[in-house]
Amino acid sequence: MQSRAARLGLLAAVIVAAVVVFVVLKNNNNDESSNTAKGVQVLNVDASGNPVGGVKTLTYNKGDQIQLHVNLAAPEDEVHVHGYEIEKPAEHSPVTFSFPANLDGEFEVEVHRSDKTEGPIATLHVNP
Amino acid sequence: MRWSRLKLAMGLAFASPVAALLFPDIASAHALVGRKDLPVPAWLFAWGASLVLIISFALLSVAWTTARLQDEDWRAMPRWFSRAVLNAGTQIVCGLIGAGLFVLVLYAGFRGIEDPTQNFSIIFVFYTFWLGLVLLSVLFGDIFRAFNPWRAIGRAVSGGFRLVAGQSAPAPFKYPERLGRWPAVLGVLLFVWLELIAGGGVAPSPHDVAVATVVYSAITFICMALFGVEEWISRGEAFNAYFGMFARLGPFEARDDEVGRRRFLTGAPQWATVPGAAALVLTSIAVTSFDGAQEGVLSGAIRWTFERCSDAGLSLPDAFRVSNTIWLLITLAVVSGLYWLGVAGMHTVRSSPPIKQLGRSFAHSLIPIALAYLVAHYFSAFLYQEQAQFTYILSDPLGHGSDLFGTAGGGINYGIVGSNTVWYVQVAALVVGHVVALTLAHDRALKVYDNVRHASRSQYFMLAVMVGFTCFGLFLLSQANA
Repeated sequence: MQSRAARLGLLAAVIVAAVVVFVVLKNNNNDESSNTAKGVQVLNVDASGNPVGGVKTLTYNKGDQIQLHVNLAAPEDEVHVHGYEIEKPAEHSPVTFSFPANLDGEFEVEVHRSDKTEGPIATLHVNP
Repeated sequence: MRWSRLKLAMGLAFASPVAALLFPDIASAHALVGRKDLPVPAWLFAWGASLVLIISFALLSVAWTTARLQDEDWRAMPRWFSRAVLNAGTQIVCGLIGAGLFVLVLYAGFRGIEDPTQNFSIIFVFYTFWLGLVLLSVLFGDIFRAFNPWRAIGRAVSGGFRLVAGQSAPAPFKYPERLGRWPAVLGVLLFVWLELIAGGGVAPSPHDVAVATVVYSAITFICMALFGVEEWISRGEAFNAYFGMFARLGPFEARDDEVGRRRFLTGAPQWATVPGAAALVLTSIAVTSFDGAQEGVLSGAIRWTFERCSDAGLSLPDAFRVSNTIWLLITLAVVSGLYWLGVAGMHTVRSSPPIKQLGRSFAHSLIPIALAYLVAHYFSAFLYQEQAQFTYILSDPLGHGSDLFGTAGGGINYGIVGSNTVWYVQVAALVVGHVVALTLAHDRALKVYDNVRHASRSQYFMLAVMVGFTCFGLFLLSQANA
């Protein structure tokens, strides 16, 4: 069993090392520029409410402006951006959105239909 | 516990025209998936994992050589406090609250709106009750006992019997010691199955939850009649055993008529070493792991199994149920296997007790890891759903448009915590849980083994197990953060 001072010294050393490594890693990471979506993003939806070419993931950084242009092949009830809770009536194509990315996380954009089925047409990935 | 669209998308991609017909209430999964946490970034994962290793070895090198946590050192609080908290009046009030909420779950389940996000029974049972009571148990002790609706009803019935018959109702059977915590293990597994799998790709319907509640209640009442009310509640009843396990980590405990406080961490070592104790805590870790892994690490495997099941002619919801059940059980087997492998390693150290007994006597050291997993996986979802619980669910529990307290117009503010906060809370929970678990295991080893050298050697194996659990937990979060 070591002395109390030795233990405290070791503890302090571990804490200092952990904090230093944390700060270094975090800062290195912040330099990394990721592929973010810019400008108006066009989403095409077919007559059965499915996205043409599959569900796309659009990446943004917090604070960016999210601009979506949804083309619908058939009238739908509404287009819903989850989390942000923006719902727009979708009887007429196109449905457009423009809002700031002020929540980070992953959010789905969905088409809602009167027969209560719904499906995602895009995923918004907002980095902090 | 994010009843997700990904699972659905899986079905849709596979057979989209059929899927639309098979999932008429897809809309019901709705706001439960409003926001999904982003995966913990790679650098934070690497940092957390390294920190865990460094702490582990630092802890071993400064480790104490005599057991310090094995005596509970429980001290009663002042008498007036105990009397104020634990009198006949408060017991009746708590019992009534528990029974009232129980009735409301059933009523909302059978009569309320089908949309799970708008129905009291779903939000209350899976968030406020299942997660909230874990938190409250750690902070305030085994309070579920006081609110337990089955206990309250059982006591009321046996009280009535005493009044009429003039004697206590006899319990015909003695609770078999060999059953231990096994009924609770089964109960927890089935509860999580109901939550994650029963819906076949969407959230369980309020009606299903109400039916499950009725079935569980019937079983509980029968068992209370067979073994006695208090006997069954404290040994066999799943939720009491589950919440009681977490209450062991906290400082408070009521004994008879007194509330007492104990020294930090001296509660968990007193957790009864009965059969099934290790299984209960391992089940808790496994079901949380499964929920975290199903959209990340395991999604490919589940999808593959799902397609095989569907090819074999199962309907999509059944294919979902079968494939997810298989992987839930595999997760349970892997998690249990890791623990028992560590125990088998410890068993090679001289002066070890028999392997079964050894496994049980270290089970309590996993409780902090189980708690850390819960915090890491459900912290943000809990914050979101409790906003629902105390706004629109509170004022409109059935979803029929009532506004009892004027809060029906409220909603969930997803901006309440950002990704950075969520990540730090998650990593911190796992690291702290790891340290506490190591502390508990080391202290137990000093009691189990006859000298410090053997105890230390046995702990290399437990260290491996715990580093495994913690890094696995971090890894899950870095893959997908559901």
